[in-house]
Amino acid sequence: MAFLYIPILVIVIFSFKNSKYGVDFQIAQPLFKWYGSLFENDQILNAAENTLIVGVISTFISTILGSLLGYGLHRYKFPGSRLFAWLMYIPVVTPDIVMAISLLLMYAALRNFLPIFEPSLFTMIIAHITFQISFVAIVVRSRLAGLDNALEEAARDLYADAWQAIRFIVLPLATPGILAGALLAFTLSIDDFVISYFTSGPTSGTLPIWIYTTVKRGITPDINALSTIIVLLTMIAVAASNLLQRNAKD
Amino acid sequence: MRQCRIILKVTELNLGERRKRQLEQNSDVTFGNVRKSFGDLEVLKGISLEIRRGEFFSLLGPSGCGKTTLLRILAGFEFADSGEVKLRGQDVTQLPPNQRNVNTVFQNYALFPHMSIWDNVAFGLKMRKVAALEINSRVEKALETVEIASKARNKPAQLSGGQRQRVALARAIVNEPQVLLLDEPLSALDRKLRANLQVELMRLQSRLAMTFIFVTHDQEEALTMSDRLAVMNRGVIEQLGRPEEMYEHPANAYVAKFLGSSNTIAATVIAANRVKTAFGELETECDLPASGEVTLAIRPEKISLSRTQSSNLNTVAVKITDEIYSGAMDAYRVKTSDGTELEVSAMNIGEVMLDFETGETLYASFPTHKLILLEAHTKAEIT
Repeated sequence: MAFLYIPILVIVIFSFKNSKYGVDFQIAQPLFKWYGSLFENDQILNAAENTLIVGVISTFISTILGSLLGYGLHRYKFPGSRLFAWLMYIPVVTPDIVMAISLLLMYAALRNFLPIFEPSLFTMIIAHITFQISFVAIVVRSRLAGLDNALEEAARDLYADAWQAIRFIVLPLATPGILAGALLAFTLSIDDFVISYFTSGPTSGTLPIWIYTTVKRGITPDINALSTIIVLLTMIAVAASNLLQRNAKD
Repeated sequence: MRQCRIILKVTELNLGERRKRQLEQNSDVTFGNVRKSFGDLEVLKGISLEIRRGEFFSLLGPSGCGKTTLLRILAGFEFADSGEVKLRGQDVTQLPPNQRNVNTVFQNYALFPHMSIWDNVAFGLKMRKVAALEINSRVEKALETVEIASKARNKPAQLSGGQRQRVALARAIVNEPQVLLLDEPLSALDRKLRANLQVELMRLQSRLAMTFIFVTHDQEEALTMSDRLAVMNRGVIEQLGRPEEMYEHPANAYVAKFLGSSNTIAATVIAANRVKTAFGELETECDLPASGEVTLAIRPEKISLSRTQSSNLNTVAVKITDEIYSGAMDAYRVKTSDGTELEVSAMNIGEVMLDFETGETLYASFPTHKLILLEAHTKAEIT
């Protein structure tokens, strides 16, 4: 546990350091001076905007697709459905670098016919969706597995058509799982560096990419401040996701 | 002459048609040679069955006999591989569940956990777009019928098993279906509550004059509640009839064993009304074949035990090997001189008869009219 959290603690402490360089430690004057400077840096604001755009759009799309995939795998048994369910775990366990390179290669190939696959926010969003879908589908499917199949049958028995049964019974009951999946997907997106780095264009850098390029020139307290904010946001999202899943079980 | 014959045929056909239609008017549900397989396993092997309007009909059998599948085919959750299903003469074989005028009470109730009791009961009416005012009055009435109106605002999780059962019932009957399907609805409840709900279900059924199809593996439940029942085994109906008919005259060894307990006795026919068994000759009123081997059965409670040999007819000396006391009933295991084991039981009404002790030698008598002929093997069949 100490190994896990001491580095994070160090970053948080160093974000409140007064001097820009050196290892001496004096409390920043004013306390949030490096946090304030973040909001005056156009590069950071641009990267933050990109991060949010990619995060929100990719989460939105992957939540819909992932939920449909989770429901489909839960509800229907078709030839190869078990293989399909197993394949779902591949993007989860594949090293990011492998996924990143394969996406890069695919985009390079597609670029010959479709200029839209020039590295940009668009290619990044597609890349994020690719790895998010599996996570959403796994979370949604596990939520659905905890529900009694007879509920959907009961709705059909009570004169609901297939769509109404999903709309009034399955969807409300799956919502905690869907939201938890969405939060998880969003967290993954804003934290992702490797895949983003390989699929982003010159103008579409995200916060993790900006940190990486800046760190090459030395770690400054404003990076620590930024990292602290990202850690904080991630923690909130993960906690909310866990809370949703736990409440759903009662 | 030929013309005559044709006319005759035509009238016969008309008569047949008319009779068929008449039958269909009286029948609520008709299964016609329904078959269903899951993979290699044939679960229903051509079931034909008519269920009459307003009757309490039970499908009884061990798990895996196909009774639940038959019910699910009627509800529309499964579709028959071949054969037809009719509801009041209308072919519903291919209709989805929401287009059939039947409702189901599920084994684990399947109440919608995110809705209040009131919303659960109103769901079917809402889906059918019934006017709001009418929904209000019908839901209220249904909740009162099952005596759960005070819980209308609660969620299912806040209710006990018995209360959930009532809600599931209300949710189904509020739609006034032609047929109510009950899939082992009492199996999750404890014994005492189950007995109460059995009586309530029977009363409700006669009050609503609705056809109930009740699936159960509990023979006692089926015998108590049904107007008629079908005993199923491995995808076929073994016997169909009224409870007392089935109990007193089981069609075969399977039904005899499944409905209550029963002693089976192998015997050889030696005269029109006499058979020879391993422990002596017995006289019977069964319709015996002229010769050959037969299997007879007698219910444990039909055999009477006594210390004195009252008559020579059908009386055999036996020795008590075990005594099983179970409150209202007293049961004994006895052995005849040749080692055949029999089960004998009697109501506990405080008579001297119940004072028998293990190891005692007694006389067991078999009333001639209580012996049941289960199977007759002609000699040709045996060889």
